[in-house]
Amino acid sequence: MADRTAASRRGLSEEVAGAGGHQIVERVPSDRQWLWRLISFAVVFGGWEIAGRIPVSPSFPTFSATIVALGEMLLDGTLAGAYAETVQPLILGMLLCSVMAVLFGVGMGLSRTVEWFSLPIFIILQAAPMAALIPLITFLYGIGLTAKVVAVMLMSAPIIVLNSYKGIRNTSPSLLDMSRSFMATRRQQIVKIILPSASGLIFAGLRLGVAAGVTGVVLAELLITPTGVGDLITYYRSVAEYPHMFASILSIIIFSSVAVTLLQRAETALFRPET
Amino acid sequence: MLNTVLSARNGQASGTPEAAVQVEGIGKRYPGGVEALKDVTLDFPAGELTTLLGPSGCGKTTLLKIIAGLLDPSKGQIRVKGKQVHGPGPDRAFVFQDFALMPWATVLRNVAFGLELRGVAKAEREATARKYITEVGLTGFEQSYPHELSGGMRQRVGVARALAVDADILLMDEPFASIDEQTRRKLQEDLLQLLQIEKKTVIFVTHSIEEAVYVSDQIVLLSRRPGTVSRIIRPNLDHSTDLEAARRDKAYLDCVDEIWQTLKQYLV
Amino acid sequence: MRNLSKLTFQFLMPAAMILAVAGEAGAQDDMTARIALGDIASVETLNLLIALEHAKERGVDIELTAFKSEDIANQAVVNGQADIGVGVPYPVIQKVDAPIRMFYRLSELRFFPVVDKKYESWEDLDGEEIAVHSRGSGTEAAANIMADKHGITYKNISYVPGSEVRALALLNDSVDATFLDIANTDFVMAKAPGEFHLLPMGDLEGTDEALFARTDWLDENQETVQILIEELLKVTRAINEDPGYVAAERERLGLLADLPEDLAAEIQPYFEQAVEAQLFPQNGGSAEGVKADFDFYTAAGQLEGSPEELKVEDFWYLEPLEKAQAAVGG
Repeated sequence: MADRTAASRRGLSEEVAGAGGHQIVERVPSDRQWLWRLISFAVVFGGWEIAGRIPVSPSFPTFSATIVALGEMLLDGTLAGAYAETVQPLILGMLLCSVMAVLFGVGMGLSRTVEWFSLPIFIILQAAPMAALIPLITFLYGIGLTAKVVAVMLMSAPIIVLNSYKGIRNTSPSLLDMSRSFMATRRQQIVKIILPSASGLIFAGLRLGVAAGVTGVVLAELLITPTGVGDLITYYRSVAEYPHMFASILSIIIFSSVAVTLLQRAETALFRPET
Repeated sequence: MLNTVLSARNGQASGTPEAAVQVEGIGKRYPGGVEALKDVTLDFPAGELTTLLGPSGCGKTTLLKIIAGLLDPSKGQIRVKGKQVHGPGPDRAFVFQDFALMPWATVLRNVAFGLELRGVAKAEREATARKYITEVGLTGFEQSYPHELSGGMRQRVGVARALAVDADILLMDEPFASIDEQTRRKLQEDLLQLLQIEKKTVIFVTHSIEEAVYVSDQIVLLSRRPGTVSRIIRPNLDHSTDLEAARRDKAYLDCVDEIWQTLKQYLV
Repeated sequence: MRNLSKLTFQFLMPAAMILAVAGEAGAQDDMTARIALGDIASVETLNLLIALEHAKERGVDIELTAFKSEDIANQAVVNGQADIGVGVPYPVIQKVDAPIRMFYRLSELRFFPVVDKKYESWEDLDGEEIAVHSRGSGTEAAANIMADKHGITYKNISYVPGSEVRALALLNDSVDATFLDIANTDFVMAKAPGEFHLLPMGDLEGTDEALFARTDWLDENQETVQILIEELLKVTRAINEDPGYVAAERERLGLLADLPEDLAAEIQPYFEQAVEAQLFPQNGGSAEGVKADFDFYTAAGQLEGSPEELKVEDFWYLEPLEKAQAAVGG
């Protein structure tokens, strides 16, 4: 989406540079990108290793110990077992809410009435401290799978809804004028202009929604009943296996990044012929 | 207020028989209370290129959008070939200042888009689109995406799209304003050449005096907000022999100067 | 050069002074104790609160902080943001060699296996489901120990953290057998009279909660530690003598002043039951008691290795307790 808006803005403001145009951000040659990435990882993990070796706290493991623990947990199937459990509420929640949330956001973008009664709800939901709300879910939905699915939905729905809504509302007015001047029906305008134009933000919302959903499921697993990775974290903490506990946390970050990256790949492959 | 050499009424009287578009008593007041246009009456002769020229904020784009049917006037009416119109129609095609190309669509689909909306079969509309892509000089770029093109090329796509729907009237809203000077000159020349083949009535909005004088058969000067017709000028340049030569013509330079003298008073 | 020396004077001198003061303060007993609670102070912590109040009267400056969870409270002690914690930090001491030692057993392990009346004995739980607090928790260890003892296997052990959550689960029938604490056992029995009963636990000994602190702090604050333990022993003995002591002392000292009426009314019955269940150890712990801990917490998976090879002094610092026991007598 960033590319998309940049491209259309480029169209408005600068033409001197001709084809391609100049970038807002300086472009790093692609053959050197991996080097910078490597350096950035090295700095973070190096800092971690040093902090673990001082140590900043007896309970803070080194990066190397954490990686060893992560390897162990990968090899003995602990992680696979935990994620098999964690992804259930995550996938269920995402399936249930993503379609609904996109439709809702699109509806809010297209209709003032829908916007009027539902925008405040989602803005409040997005601003609400979810970690504080999740224990309350148990009052309504108990402590089972349902509660976790609800936690995932509560975390991800507002982001998806608001992004879809923004996507619709950000449709270039001149593209709308263009479709009107060529006598598009409202249906054609929505299908051929508004939705494709909003798709970037909608997909970005879905990606952020998945990341938020992961946060939601982990929060639920930590705060409602310990299952999956939430159980790993709780358990390793209770028996003071801190490298394993940090490895579990690290695995969530890796899991979330991989999921988001895969989604982005899928989006580019399926819906972005122009890139 | 300046006394016009040729009043709007005179213009109407002389132009009536062949007017493609007639603007009658158009006024526009925006919801905020800003009055953009006041009692504008104008004729746009068929087959000619008429420019709406004036200081920024004089309502020239507003007027163009009212003619296109994209905006509703607060007062007055628009007639196209004698018939009053409400809203956009197949007789008018719009060219946008920011090109208004769909970034997710190829050049081919963008050019064919007006026909796509009308439900023309894919093969047929693509054949038509290819014809106009060639006409605007973009052969070979059919499968390119807008972000792969320069600004000038993008506006060629915009022009091709407007031509593809075969409307008699082209409405061009500062089409070359966001394009660099050298390219703009080339585009102006190409536009004139194209119009010799296509025989369209063109309503062209610009803030460039030179551009107006160079491309126009008739120039309508609008006053500052609320915009009213201040003067109508016909540059009478001869483009038929040499497109380049026109820019060195004395008539061209005199006309530019004359318009500048008129417009200067609107600048504070 | 001049700038540099000026800089040294301006920044390094005060820093050095602060360090000197801090060092000095750390080197001798300053009669303060920062205590980290894993939960907000409540009826169940009144015995500790009363003892702390008595220690205050003897000149110890007490600073009480309630943390979100026991884990966080324990980390605060390990990292030096608090002096005394409440809990059983065996794994932290064993796994990461945290420089902390337990020095007072506040309460005994007491389990209340509340089950549906359809289960008459432990043997009836063979092939049935039981809910415990969490993986690696005391309740899980208790469940496993009882299963071993009675030669049964559960169909499944489910994890439901929070005694009050398990109590509700019992009441709405999503769980038929679980472990509760005293208060929630009462609650369940009162809500659904005749539906549930307790299974016998036999003699299971161990520490449920202990006070612990960093070794350096224990060394440097011997007098403070001494006063604290003495007062704890005295209060414990007074409670074991007469559970009504708690309500009376709370009144006298004005503790938990904003406690609602209905909760205040629970003080008396709670401590009566606690004393009946022998929750509060008369002597605040012993080396034998620690050995019992090794057995239990090894079974719970909190400690690794064979219980016989674990050393008491690696986990407990019993010297001040022994001194206090001698001082208080009895």
